[in-house]
Amino acid sequence: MGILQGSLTVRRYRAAGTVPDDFRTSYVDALNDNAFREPRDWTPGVEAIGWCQVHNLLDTDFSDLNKWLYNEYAVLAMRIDKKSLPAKLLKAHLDKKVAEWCQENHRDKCPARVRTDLKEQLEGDMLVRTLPRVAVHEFCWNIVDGTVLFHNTSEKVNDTFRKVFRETFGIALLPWSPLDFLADSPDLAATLEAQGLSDLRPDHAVGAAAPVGGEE
Amino acid sequence: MSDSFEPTDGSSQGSGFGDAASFPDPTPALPHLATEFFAWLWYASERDGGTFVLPGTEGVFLFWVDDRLSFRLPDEDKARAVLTGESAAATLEARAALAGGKVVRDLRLALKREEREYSVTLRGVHLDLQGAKLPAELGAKDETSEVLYERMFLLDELWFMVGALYRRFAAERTSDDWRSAHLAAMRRWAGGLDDA
Repeated sequence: MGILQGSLTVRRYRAAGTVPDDFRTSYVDALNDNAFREPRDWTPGVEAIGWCQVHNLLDTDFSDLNKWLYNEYAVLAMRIDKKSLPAKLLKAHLDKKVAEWCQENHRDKCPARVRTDLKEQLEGDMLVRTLPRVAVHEFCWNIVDGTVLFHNTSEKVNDTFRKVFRETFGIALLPWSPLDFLADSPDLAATLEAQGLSDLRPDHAVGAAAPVGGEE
Repeated sequence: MSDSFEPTDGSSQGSGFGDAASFPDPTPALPHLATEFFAWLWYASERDGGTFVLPGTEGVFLFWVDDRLSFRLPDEDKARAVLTGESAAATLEARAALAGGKVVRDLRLALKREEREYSVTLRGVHLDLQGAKLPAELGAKDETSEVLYERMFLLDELWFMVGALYRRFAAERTSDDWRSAHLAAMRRWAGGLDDA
């Protein structure tokens, strides 16, 4: 499911900024600079984030405009990888390592510093053998009218998207508001904003004055 | 295509990078307006027989609540009742939820303009589109660009219809006779005293 096929699950944004005249070259550079790259050293729970092509998440070279720019539409994807270790398995391995250390060093207890070192070493070893959890979120940017459709509605993922988009293109994304439907009628939008929540319970009488923003 | 573009709102930002998520929304909509709109959509679809006449010569489209409605308490976000299946909006439980003081958290709306039929779940303060199904307008296509243009055209049409409904809702919600006429009628409808 995504921008190009299947059902759409999108949040709408307005790109608040000016697209530069040389965007065909400057955006290629910006995308390549912020493309997804697998980190050499993983930290448990820390995400690796960058852009990739919608056609293949392993394709992170944006030099060919024909792969991502279709007239006024830029179609790209944000890839987020994260490696996590199963806590119980990590603890079990760590307990064994600690026991081995105590036996080798003829000690009853393992000092906290040694335990921390053993844990970091173990995490490093296990992370190398662990595949990341991979998420790819597509977006479509109409460069002419400034509309951006992001194919995800999670608040956390949307916050990340707005941040990475801004860092890449230097353009802020403003969440679309239903009041934008009323852009031609600012007085109507202001009046609508002042309306309270309607109480539809049949036994509530109509007629009392309604507090602004409160219940009617 | 021109090499230089300005966004439609004409605004611009400085060149300094930062956390986009921290930028304030210039036109925030109060959260309760979304639930107001959803309840009105349901009511208006039954009141008007599911027909919406567009201004001018733009014709008509049909709209109705499809196969899902969910309700929550006014001060919570978690769904307290979810009704699915054919004619979910026509069940006694659905109106009972409204009559009991719950608000519509999200609803799945079906729309039809000419031969093009859409289905989408509207949710949240931004009116996020969830699981939007677009009509297969011209059949299979090979070129990515053709697929993209068609899907963006159809999505624009879907958004256009939702916008038309929202403008009608805003006009009624802010009208002088909202409380005496519309709200009173909606209460009768929610209580099963009036078939809208």
